[in-house]
Amino acid sequence: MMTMMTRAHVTFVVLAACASPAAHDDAPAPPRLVAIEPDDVAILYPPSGASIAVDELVPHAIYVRAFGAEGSLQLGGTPAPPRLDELVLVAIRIDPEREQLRLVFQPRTDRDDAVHAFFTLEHGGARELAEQIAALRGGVTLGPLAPHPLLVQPTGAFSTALATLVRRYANPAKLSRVTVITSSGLGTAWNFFGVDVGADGAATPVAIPTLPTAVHLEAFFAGFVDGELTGEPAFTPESTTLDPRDDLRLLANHDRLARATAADRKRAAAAAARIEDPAVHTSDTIDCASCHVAHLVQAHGPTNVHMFGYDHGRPSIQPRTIREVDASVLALNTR
Amino acid sequence: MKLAVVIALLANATLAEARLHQDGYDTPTETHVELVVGLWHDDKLTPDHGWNHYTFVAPTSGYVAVQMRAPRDHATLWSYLRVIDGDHNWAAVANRVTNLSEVVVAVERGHHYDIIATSQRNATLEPGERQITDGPYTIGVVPIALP
Repeated sequence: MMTMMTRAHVTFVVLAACASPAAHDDAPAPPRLVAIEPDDVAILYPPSGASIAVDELVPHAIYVRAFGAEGSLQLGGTPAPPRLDELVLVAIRIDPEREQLRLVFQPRTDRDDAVHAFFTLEHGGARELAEQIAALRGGVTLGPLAPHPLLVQPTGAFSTALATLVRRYANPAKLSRVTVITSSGLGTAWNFFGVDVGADGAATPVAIPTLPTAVHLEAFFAGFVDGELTGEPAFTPESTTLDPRDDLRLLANHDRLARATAADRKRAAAAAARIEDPAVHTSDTIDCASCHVAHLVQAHGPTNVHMFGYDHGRPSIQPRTIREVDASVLALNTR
Repeated sequence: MKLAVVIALLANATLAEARLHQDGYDTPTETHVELVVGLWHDDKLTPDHGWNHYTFVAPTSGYVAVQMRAPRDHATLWSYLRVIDGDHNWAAVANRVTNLSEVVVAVERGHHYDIIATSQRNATLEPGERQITDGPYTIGVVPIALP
């Protein structure tokens, strides 16, 4: 399923400032004045991914420190994170609000997993990077978010130049967070966890908002009935500080939903809408599973937890991602 | 959730006794996995490892459902669970359609339980008959509220 929503196009395109001169000889030429488009801040590679070795970007030593030696099962025997050498870079996200670069990796295998690596950018670095990517387009206007048309040919000039930028900005010394999604329950459950990476490379489990502080892994169980949401409990562990306005959990179990009052259904639907709104919630305020399933529990389709990447080989671009991207474009074009 | 449950048997055998009794077929493989309420662990059974052993420590007192599920209509893996608590043990086998087995146990906070996963085929082998079960399954402990 390709989740595509009509995005609110930013119509008042303005000039973006010139980026600072390139620091390396092999870097692309300084960009011209160009407006930022969504595909400049959210780039989806074809499913085969980028031609960049993942351990160039995410050091193996940090990965092992974070999640244990290769094959180490996680809490409750949930799966080990995928090996770095089985991952490919499938997407790039630039967040000017946080001055952050996010790289999305998924396995070459049929595992429905993902690894996200977050890099801190220098002040103004997000704008600089987005402008350089925009300049690489050479004035070509791209359509709605989709696998990047200029990356369809992985050996093309755009691909080569983009790889150079990724290597430059995804500085392992600036790696700040690594998060992981694994699938278990024979493809019916998804596990979310991660680490914050200190300047010294030390890894600290990410505190997941609304969950008990001692718990650093959250799971979503869709249930064993194909095409239905029957997991009970769907979310593990139970949130302890979840605002009732943000409680969409009723939507995650069709049996309970069928027995619920109209008021409770309405409240849960409103919660899903709030969670899908980046102006209301971020990863600092809502738990991983709620955010990753907010669209799923409303759409009543096959389970897909990938916000910007691939769902069993099919492009997956969730509505929340489109809103986040539009907000980033707006910010970059109006500042 | 519609569970195709199953037969629940109450027997008198400790884990050690169960091992002894089952040695004719296989010795449970120690997985070193401690199951956690609400999380699912994926594993597999093979002709060489036809019985897997897990542990569970109850975080709270109440009822839990230990569940095991294998692919529907699997040719050789027919989910079979055994939960052992000292002198008590409970077993359940799935029906063939859902291949989901479940054992509901009243647990005490902090108490340790042994859990064995196998296939009904392995649990009913005749002397000298070899295990042929070969396939994936998932196992988890689910909290439940009973009136």
